[in-house]
Amino acid sequence: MSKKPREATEIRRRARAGKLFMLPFMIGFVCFYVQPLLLSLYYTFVNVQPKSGGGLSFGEGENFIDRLNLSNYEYLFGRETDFWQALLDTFKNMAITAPVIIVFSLFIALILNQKFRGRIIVRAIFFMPVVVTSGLVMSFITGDAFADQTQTTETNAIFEAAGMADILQGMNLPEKIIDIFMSITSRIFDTLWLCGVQILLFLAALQGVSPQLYEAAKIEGATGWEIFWKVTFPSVTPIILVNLIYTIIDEITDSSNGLMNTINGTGFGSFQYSRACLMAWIFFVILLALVGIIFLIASKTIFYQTDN
Amino acid sequence: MNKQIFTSEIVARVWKLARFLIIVGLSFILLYPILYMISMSFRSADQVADPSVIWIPKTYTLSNFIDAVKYLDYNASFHTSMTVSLSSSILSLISCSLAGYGLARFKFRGKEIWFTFVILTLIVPAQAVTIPMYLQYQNFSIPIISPILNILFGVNMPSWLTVNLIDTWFVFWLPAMFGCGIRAGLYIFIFRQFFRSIPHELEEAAQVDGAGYFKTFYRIMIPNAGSAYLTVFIFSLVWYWNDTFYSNVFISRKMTMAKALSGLSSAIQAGIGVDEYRSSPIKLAGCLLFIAPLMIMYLFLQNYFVESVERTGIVG
Repeated sequence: MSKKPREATEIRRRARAGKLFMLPFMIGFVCFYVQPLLLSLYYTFVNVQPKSGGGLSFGEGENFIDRLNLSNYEYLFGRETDFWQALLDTFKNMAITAPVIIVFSLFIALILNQKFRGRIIVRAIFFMPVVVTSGLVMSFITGDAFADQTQTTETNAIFEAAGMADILQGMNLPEKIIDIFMSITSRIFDTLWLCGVQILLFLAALQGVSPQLYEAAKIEGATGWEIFWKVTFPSVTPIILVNLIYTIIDEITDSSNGLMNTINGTGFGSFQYSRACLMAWIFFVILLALVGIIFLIASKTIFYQTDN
Repeated sequence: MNKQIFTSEIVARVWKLARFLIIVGLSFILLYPILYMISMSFRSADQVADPSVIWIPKTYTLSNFIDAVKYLDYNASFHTSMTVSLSSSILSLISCSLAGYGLARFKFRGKEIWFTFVILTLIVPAQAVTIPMYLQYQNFSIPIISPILNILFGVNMPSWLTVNLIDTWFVFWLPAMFGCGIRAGLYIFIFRQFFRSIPHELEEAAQVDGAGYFKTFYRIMIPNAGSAYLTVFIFSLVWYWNDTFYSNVFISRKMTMAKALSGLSSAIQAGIGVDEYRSSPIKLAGCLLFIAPLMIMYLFLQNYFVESVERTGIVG
């Protein structure tokens, strides 16, 4: 009799504690996302232009109704073609590269998670893409005037495995093995530089898998292949979801793709802020739908070790 | 029976060889740019394009590094970048882990929606929010209320309620404090996934002992999520260190290392004129100086990384 109300207060207390843990983010979300997003939505309906004396003008008129201006909508949903083409291309590219990146980085993380000599050093090396690609260093190296000295093809050799063949030959390996090895390395080359964050996340997830699970599986007589699909893979599915979402977003918002160039050019190049805001909103809504679908699928398939 | 053991040994040997080749091959690809930078940055101008110098310069010179330090204003920009990256990362770590724990372990109304909002923050295009954010920081007042008053009624907030945060560190600290720093949504997501995979028994034991929710969090959960904390800390540090987008817009007057590096080419050109033979090794030395703190920090933290994982293995 007395147990029920106590349970109810316990549930309420837990709910309150949960909200309290979330409170900083809730405040931040309203201040740093909801407000600017709504403002930028507002900008799509008026004509934002730089003022001659500095600052911005939000159109003529005292209030919102007077300033209302739908020319950007008419333009983007009517005459404009470049933006839509760039949008389509960017999403198409993402659909091809994202699955490759996920599979490849899981594979690499599995290798790096094994015990071998010098793995501390190797892991440090695999941290390189995170440092190099997320910054300016990449542009310095690719843009270096003397980097093409080692060039063997018409592409820039600095980021290719050109020097690799020399080393393998130096090791006195048969020509055929070198050829096969080289063709593989050059193809995975581009992918590798995009996998830094994903590999690190997978690695952290793999290290979180409890050793008891592996021991239990081994005692049951499971093979390596079975252990992967029954123990390892289910344990990393939560991080697969993180990585998939991250990869998709990273690919689409990569500042070097056509879509971002179009939006940046429109907004900060030719100062058509309202139009750029509308473009950003269009791709925001599409990306939102895509991520929503992925979550819907994931919620049915992902395995959490400790779910009740 | 013997034959089986024999074949499995062969498979193991072949795998070891294949693994070795894969690791060596990929490591080489990843190290190539670094090796190139190191090789070039120690060369003097006359050896830069010398075909007889393949990897190891004939003579070593430190002058490129000395020049890079000068043009990057290394002492000042290093200090600035370190301060802002470390402080913002720590603030992010606190707010994001709290939010991630709240999402992972508690049931409350609207939880699913709030999780959706966390993911949403990652998708929000920077181009859409940059200008509103700038204006918000420039006339920072009561959020939500002040823009509504302004847009609908043309009313401005009184000046005693308004501060200008542009060119102050608050443009980084405020969002980081409230779980909205650079890529904070990803960190909250990472924390949520990690906290969800820690066994419930640990918390239950602590709560039986009478520990409150927050005590359970910092006594039980934080030590057990060490790998998540380190991963997030490293990522956060790298992204704050590398940031030029936000620092160009919001703190245009302060010189961070990333900004100094992006302006390095023109700084060198102003100093010595157009001379690729001299400027190229200086630029590459600058790149090395830029990534060196991150690499050192990663190597240093990685030891703890392995340690903390082993410890959680014993506890869990």
